[in-house]
Order: sequence, then structure tokens, then C-alpha cells
Amino acid sequence: MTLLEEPDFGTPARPGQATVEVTVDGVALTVPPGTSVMRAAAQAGCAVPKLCATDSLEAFGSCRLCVVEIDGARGTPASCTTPVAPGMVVRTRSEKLEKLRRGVMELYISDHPLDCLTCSANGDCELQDMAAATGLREVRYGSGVDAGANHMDLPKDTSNPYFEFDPAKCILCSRCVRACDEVQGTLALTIEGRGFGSTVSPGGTDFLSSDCVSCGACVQACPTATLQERSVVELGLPTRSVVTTCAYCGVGCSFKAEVRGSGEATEVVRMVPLKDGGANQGHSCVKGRFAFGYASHPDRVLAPRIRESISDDWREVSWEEAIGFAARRLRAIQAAHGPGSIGAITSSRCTNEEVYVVQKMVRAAFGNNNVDTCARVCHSPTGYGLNQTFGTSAGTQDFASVDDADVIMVIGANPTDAHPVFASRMKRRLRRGAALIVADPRSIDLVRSPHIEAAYHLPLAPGTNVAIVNAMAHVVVTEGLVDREFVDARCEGFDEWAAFIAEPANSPEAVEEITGVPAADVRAAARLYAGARNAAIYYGLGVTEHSQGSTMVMGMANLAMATGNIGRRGVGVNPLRGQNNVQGSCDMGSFPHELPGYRHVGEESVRDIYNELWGVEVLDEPGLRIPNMFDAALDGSFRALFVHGEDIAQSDPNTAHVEAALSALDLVIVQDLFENETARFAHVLLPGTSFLEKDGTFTNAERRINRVRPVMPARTGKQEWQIVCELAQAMGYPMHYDDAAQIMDEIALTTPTFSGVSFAHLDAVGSVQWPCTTERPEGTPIMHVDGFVRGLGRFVPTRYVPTRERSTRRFPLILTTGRILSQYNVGAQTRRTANVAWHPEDLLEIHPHDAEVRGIADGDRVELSSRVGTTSLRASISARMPVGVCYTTFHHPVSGANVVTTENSDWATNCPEYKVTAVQVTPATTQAAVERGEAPVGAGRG
Amino acid sequence: MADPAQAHPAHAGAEPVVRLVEEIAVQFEHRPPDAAAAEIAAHLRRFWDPRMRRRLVDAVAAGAVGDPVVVRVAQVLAPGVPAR
Ligand code: SF4
Ligand code: SF4
Ligand code: SF4
Ligand code: FES
Repeated sequence: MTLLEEPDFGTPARPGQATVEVTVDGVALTVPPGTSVMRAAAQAGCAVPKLCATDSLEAFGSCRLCVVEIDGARGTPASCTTPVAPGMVVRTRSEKLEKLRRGVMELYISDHPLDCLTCSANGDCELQDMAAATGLREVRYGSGVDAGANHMDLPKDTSNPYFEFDPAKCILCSRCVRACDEVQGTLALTIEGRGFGSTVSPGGTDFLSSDCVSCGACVQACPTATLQERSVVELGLPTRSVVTTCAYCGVGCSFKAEVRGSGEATEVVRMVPLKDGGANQGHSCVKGRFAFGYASHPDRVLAPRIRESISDDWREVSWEEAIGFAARRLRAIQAAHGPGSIGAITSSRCTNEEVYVVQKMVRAAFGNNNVDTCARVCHSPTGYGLNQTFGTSAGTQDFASVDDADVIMVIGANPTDAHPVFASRMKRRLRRGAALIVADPRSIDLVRSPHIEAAYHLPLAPGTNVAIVNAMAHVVVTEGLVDREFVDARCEGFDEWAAFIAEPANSPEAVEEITGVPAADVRAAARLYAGARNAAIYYGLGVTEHSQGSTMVMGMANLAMATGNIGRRGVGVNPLRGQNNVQGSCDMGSFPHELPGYRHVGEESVRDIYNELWGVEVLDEPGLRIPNMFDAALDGSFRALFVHGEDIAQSDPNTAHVEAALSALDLVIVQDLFENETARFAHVLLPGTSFLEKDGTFTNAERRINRVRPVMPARTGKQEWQIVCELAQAMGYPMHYDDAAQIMDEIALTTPTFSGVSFAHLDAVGSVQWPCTTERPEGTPIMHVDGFVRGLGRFVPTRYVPTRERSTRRFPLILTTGRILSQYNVGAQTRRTANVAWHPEDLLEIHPHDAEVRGIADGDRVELSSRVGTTSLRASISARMPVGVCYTTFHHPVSGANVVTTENSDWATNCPEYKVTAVQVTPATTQAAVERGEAPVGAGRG
Repeated sequence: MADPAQAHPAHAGAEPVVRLVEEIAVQFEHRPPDAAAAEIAAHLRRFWDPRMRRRLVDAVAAGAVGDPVVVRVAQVLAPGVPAR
């Protein structure tokens, strides 16, 4: 395989029909109106030399290398800034043009260190390419250091762990500045100074101390070695690439993994986002682009281990021995305690194919439905709520849809941190004029950022989402803002719902005391949302991880249906999924009550499909959910658990309870990259593969199925799906596939919404959004266009019921949790990369007032306690917190935020109520607390 | 070892399934009791492992539950739950 180079057409594509006829160097072609002459020329196969233009950015017209001649036009216009006109005749080559371009190049080269042969970008530098393309032979002003006053002594900025900035090589094309503005939307870079004194600057400081979020867009846009990945400096330029998908978040960015070497000697040099990527169109964040080093971290477990008891030391054994040991003990436990005494947890980090075989192992080899997934603790309410109202468990839109939204409502989500590449896209739309409503207790970055200001920030008290969404719907119903035409034609249950929602108890005035949000703001926000041509809702775990998570999902669906904001571009109800394959793991039948494709195990016709293919009788009753497994472990009816790529001991709430349950099990099998916290309770540790070694698919938050392709062979010698099959086999159930493609074929064969999916199809078209059927192989970007999946959209009355978790005199503050940009979930991967430069520890954000009354200063170590446990971490005083509310992340095991979270959960799905815990915060002054500083203490542990 | 039942003061000594069903029941408090019981029972049939339904029926039989709607739920479920 070779290095994939995507063509650069110089300026962005324009939407619309190709209607404008032009001729470039004698080649006639038609392009959409607004297309630049440069792009038309490139499409005609006559690429014009360029330096300041690249097709991810709007044209800027500063280098003047791209001049052309146009019949009837005066002079030599820059082709990047000149749009085509009907009948235009363009010449890109002439003696005059070549002379002009050589002159431009001469000036650039005269202020450039000519150390090409030793430069890290040698062979990958547009300045070098353009010098060749323009036929530059000599530089009249002298070159390099001989050229008089120059910039060659400027110091390098090496503060960023992933890339360097060497201003001596800068040609001031400002592609970096524009990439940061237009692509990323952070606006961290400026050109400082004037004329000869101009330089690129990250706000007058170094990159690490600046607003830069290390997305790498500037590095990618830079035509020279000025902004360069360190890995390229250290390892040299890559020699081949493999197109694959990021394994971090639910955006699902496509990348070219650019590597050197082959086989086991493969070394990843850099990850370059794919311009053709359906979800990311050439952009990425710091995690996907740079934080892949964990895959080669020395902490990786590479050989299987077993032990009799969790107090024993691990013994490294062969695959055969480990699998045999696990299978024997699973069967022995079932013999002693019944078929329902064992189960498994699938992972949202793994591929669809891996998840599918795990749930198949449970249903066919274990002979029960005790399978659940880590989505239980994040988006299970999305599944329930959207299924009840729309008929399927998925977001309604593709990401591109946001480009057509006029009002964007973000509820309980922090996209700039958790879904950065989608956030960049959303911010672009907001800068171009869409209005923004943010409902979040915290003043998240989006509320006010460069060129963006929320029209309304509704800083609601944690746990009062349903009251707010009901109040908005109340305004819609009582002020006559309902889209009657849509409701009458497409929905059912409206009258009953409308009567409920119109009750005075749901008015913004009535709930003001509960939510803390001024009624006037709620009314205004509701009018803005309902009055928009297109209004879209985006939400995250701030919606789902509540005792009324499912109710809130239905509340948002009601609001969208009542205002007719479903079934076209620019609208919809969109969950921003946390992990890379949350959507896929749910799709693949990971829930104990559902077979793949969200079909209940009670449906006989569905079971029949599997009974026939698998040669077993699939159980018709739901199995245990994760929290039920823990409870059943403690009551003795559940004895063994296979945990696939998840760290439940760290990520699940109420650590003391989880640890007690895990300790009570007779057998815990963990499959993971690292010896994680859960492995402390394991008897079998099976090494996993990183995404760089996997072959399969991930499904992102917009239902897009992306290929994950192996960049290198599995470092453990086996694919994870193979291990699962071998375990099933060892238990006496025949399960075999030749490769991952065969697993997808079985998924397509048995799941109607996937019937058109195969690796071959994905390899041909890039990606598809399900439903992807044999009739609609191109997939479905927007759902519920002509009708809802369930037929009519169903209004469900959503009464607000306060959580039982309230602040008390003993625990007067409310703790809410979340994540930040540079780290990922339990941090097992990102903590093993240079991303720790941005987030070395979890901090407790607390309002200045709450800190002051407790005598807490910024940076102090504090004790955080709830009724279930106590932990210790450092305080960060922050005015973006409301009074009475504090906030932390859960990326580091030492701070153990889940030591304090409780067993409360969403009523319908048991998704934990991570977002509301009554706590007390005190300065960690006692000697004991200082000693405990690095170790969380769970109440009642031991 | 931690006793999960001790975790919440309101549920000291309670079966986890009782806590869970009460969490569900408050969501249906505004419905007429019979309708609420029917809807809750349907929800539990759809989403709860049979052994949890068994434990609920047993807990109600043992007099561990006061809420009349939950008692009614257990009555609705009782005929279908598997034997211990
Ligand atoms: S890395 Fe991203 S955020 Fe940082 S300066 Fe470059 S474009 Fe801006
Ligand atoms: S750093 Fe690179 S992209 Fe930025 S102005 Fe200099 S040469 Fe252009
Ligand atoms: S936005 Fe998400 S999928 Fe994209 S690069 Fe970042 S972590 Fe990966
Ligand atoms: S590429 Fe057109 S002016 Fe620079």
C-alpha cells in the first residue's frame, strides 16, 4: 500500500448544480456558480501553482503565485479569489505568467533557510514543490542566511508536546491562522506586527499556554515545515497510509494512519484526518490526531494471565490455557448455580463485529440474555426515549444537517470538549448566524466564545431538565406556536399531551423556583425555538444521566414534534454519543432485552431468525442489566462476569458497591489493553487489541458505519472476536468466522436495517448511515422523513418528578460530572499519552462563594464526600459554576469521582444518575486526609 | 463489605428491586392506580430479568412494601414469574 494523497483543489467546493461553462487551457467544463477559477482549473487537470490557498479554507489572495490570464479581463488576476463566469476563457500558462510566478517564488526563497536536504518536510513541502513547478533556478537577492535582513534566527516554539513551530521557515501565508479560525473555530492564532516584522503568534505567548486546543488543523494547513508534527521530525516522513476510524469519541472521524515500516515493525508517524471523511471532512481533535501513543505503551498487556483467586499473583499462560480455564469455570458455575448465573458486558470501544460476537456468545453459548453494555451508563435513556416516541433508538440527523439549522439548542452537552470536531462544525454555523440556546448548569465554553454568544443560557439546577423542557413546551402549546399541520398529519397522542403540558404547573413561572431559571428567559427561548424555520436539538449525558433521563429524552422529542422540527435537514433530536461505538454497540444487540436492531427478545419471529441460524433456543425473557448484575452478585444468584473492554470499577457509580459486587463473584474475566482497575477483581485477564490492530466497523453518533482497518498486525496474536469465538467453542458451542467481514455478513443477513451493509460495500462507498438496506444501499442521512419509524410519532406526557437526591444540611452542594477535551473517559488511553500536559489530574470546580465560605483557595486539596464515600482532589475556583453546584471529571483513578456517586438511576433504564449527587466539600487539612491524598476512600470498603 | 441496601437512608434494609420499583412507581403517581400498576407491570415484563420479578413478588408477599400500587404490580406479575 502507498501513501494516499488526497487532491487539493485550492478552494472549497461550492454547493449547487454545475451550470457555469468555462474553458481552461482549452479544456471545457461546467462547475457550480461561485467556484473559483483555481478550482475549475484543478478540475480541468491544469492545476495552478499556489501557496496561500488550500481547499479547506476560503481563498485569501496573498501570495499572488496563482495568477492567470482571462480573456477580456485586465491584468493577471489571482485565480483563487476570482470566481468563474459563464463563457470564461482562462489560460494558466504563458511566458508572462511564468515570469511573474518566478518573481514571487524568488522573494519567498530569499527569506527561507535553504536547508531542504536536512529539513523534516523534505519531500512534503509545498514551497519546495512550487519552486520546482515555477522552474526557479536562481535567486537574485541571495538566499538563506546570505539574503540580508531575514527571519532565520527566530527561536522555535516547542511547548506543544505534539508539534513544533519554527518561525524561521514561515512564509506568512496565514493558512494556519485561517485554519484555526475557519476550520477549528478557536481563533488562537494571529499575524502580529506589520510588514517585515510580521509573525504568526498564538496570542503573544507560546502554544501550550495559549488558547490553542492542539487540534492540529494549523499543522495540517501549513505548506512548509514551520508547523510540523514532532513525530515527523523524530521518525521521518511516512511511507504508506491506511484509512481508518478514530477510536475515541462518537464523532467517528476518518483518518489516514500514515506509517513507516510494515508487519510487526510498523510505526505510526502521524494520523491525518481524511478530507473525504463523512463525519469530519478533514478535521480532527487532539485525541484522534495525536493521542495514539497508548497503543505502543509498555503497560499494554500482551499475553493472557490467570489466577485461582484475586489475592494470588498473576500467571502468564498460553491462549489455550487461559481460554480453557475460563470456559471450564464458566460451565462449572452454571452447573452449580444455573444457566442464568453468568453474563457479559460488551464495550462501546470495540467494533460492531466484536460486540456482535460477545452478545452471540451470551445468547447462544451461555444460553441466557445476561448481556449489557457500557451504554447502560450513558445513553440507554436515549434508546428508551426515542424508541417510545419515534420508534427507533438513534439520532435523527447527519452532522452536516447542522449547516441548515437556524436555531441550535444544546442541552446537557459540552460539544467543544466532548465532541470537538462536530463542535467546530456547529460553531461555524453559529458564526454564520444561527441562534444558540444553551441549557446547562455550567456556563460551558459555547455560551460565549469568539464570535459566538448564546441568545439564551438557561442555567438550570441539576436534575430539573424535565421541568425546563415541559415549561418550553407549555409556552409552545399555550401561545399557539404548535405546528398543527405536522402534528395532525404525523403524530398521535397530541391532545392528551397538550392538555397535560398546558397545566399551569408546567408554566415557566411555576417552575422558576425549581429550576432557578427566570421564566422570561424560558419563554423567550421557547419562542425562539418554535419560531425558527429550522430548529435542532443536540444533547448529551447531561440529559440522560438523571433519574428522569428517559423522561427528558421523550420531553425533547415531544417539543420537536409539536413544532414540526423532525424529518428534514436542519432540525431533529440528536444525541451526542460519548464513546466511538456507543451507537454500534447498542445496534448490535448488547441490551439484555434486545436482539440486534432493537428487536425485543419476546418477539418470536425475531428469535426464530437466530434460533435457526445459531441452532439454539434464544431465551424469550430479558436478562440482567449491569446494575442488576451487581445486585444479583450480592444476592448470590449471579456468579461470573465477562467484561469486554470496559473498566466498570472506575467508570460505574458508587465504587464501594461495585467493588463489593465484583469481589463477590466467583469468576471475573477481563479483556482489555491494560491491567485496569476492574482487573484487580479478575481471575482471567485476556489482552485486547488497539484500534490500530482491529479489522471491523464503528458506528458513530449519526448512525454512520465507518471501516476500521488494521494498520499493523494484532500485537497479541489474535483479534478480539477470535478470542470470544474460541471461548464459546471451549464451552461447547461451535462458533467460527474466517474474518471480520463474515461477521458483518451475518449481521446484514439477520438485521433488516443493516441488510445492505458489507465490508465490500463500505470499502466502495466509504461509509453509510443505517438504515442501509438492499433497496437503499446509499443509507439514510435523515430519519423519519415521510413517516416515523413507528408510523406515527407518539406524544408521551412527561411529568416532572424531582430526584430523591437532594442537598441536605450534611451534604449541601450538588456535584455534577463531565469530561474535558484532552482526556477520554476513564483515561486509560489518554493518560498514557502526552495529553496529560493539559489535564494532569481531575479538579473539582467550585463557585468562588462556595469556596470562600469553606475557606478553600484555588489549588487547595479538598475532601469531597457524599453519603456513599469520600475522595480527595484539588479545587479549581470557577465563576462558570452556579452557587451550590460543583463539578468534576472522572478521567483519573486516583481521584475516583465515582467513589461519591450513588446508586440512584434513571427509572426506565437504570442509567446512573451521575449528574446529581449531594456532597460536602471541606479543606483537606487533617493529617489523615493529607495522607489519604492520593487514595480515594470508599465508605464501607473492605 | 458494603451493604448496598444501607446506601440510601430511605431504603435502609430494602431489597434493591424494591428501591427500583419505587423509583418507577413515583413516575406513575399521577396515573389512576390500576392503570399505573398495569403500565409498571408491563414495563417490568419488558425490561426485568424474571428473577428480579420473582424477588419483587416475594418482597411484597413478605410485607416489605407499603405502596398499594407496587402491591398491585406484584399481584399482576405473580402468575407469570418463575418458581424459585
Ligand atoms: S492546533 Fe488547532 S487550536 Fe491550536 S493553533 Fe492550531 S488550529 Fe488553532
Ligand atoms: S506557520 Fe505555516 S501556515 Fe502559518 S503562516 Fe507560516 S507558513 Fe503559513
Ligand atoms: S472528534 Fe472524536 S472521533 Fe474525531 S478525532 Fe476527536 S476524538 Fe476522534
Ligand atoms: S494561492 Fe492565490 S493568491 Fe495565494
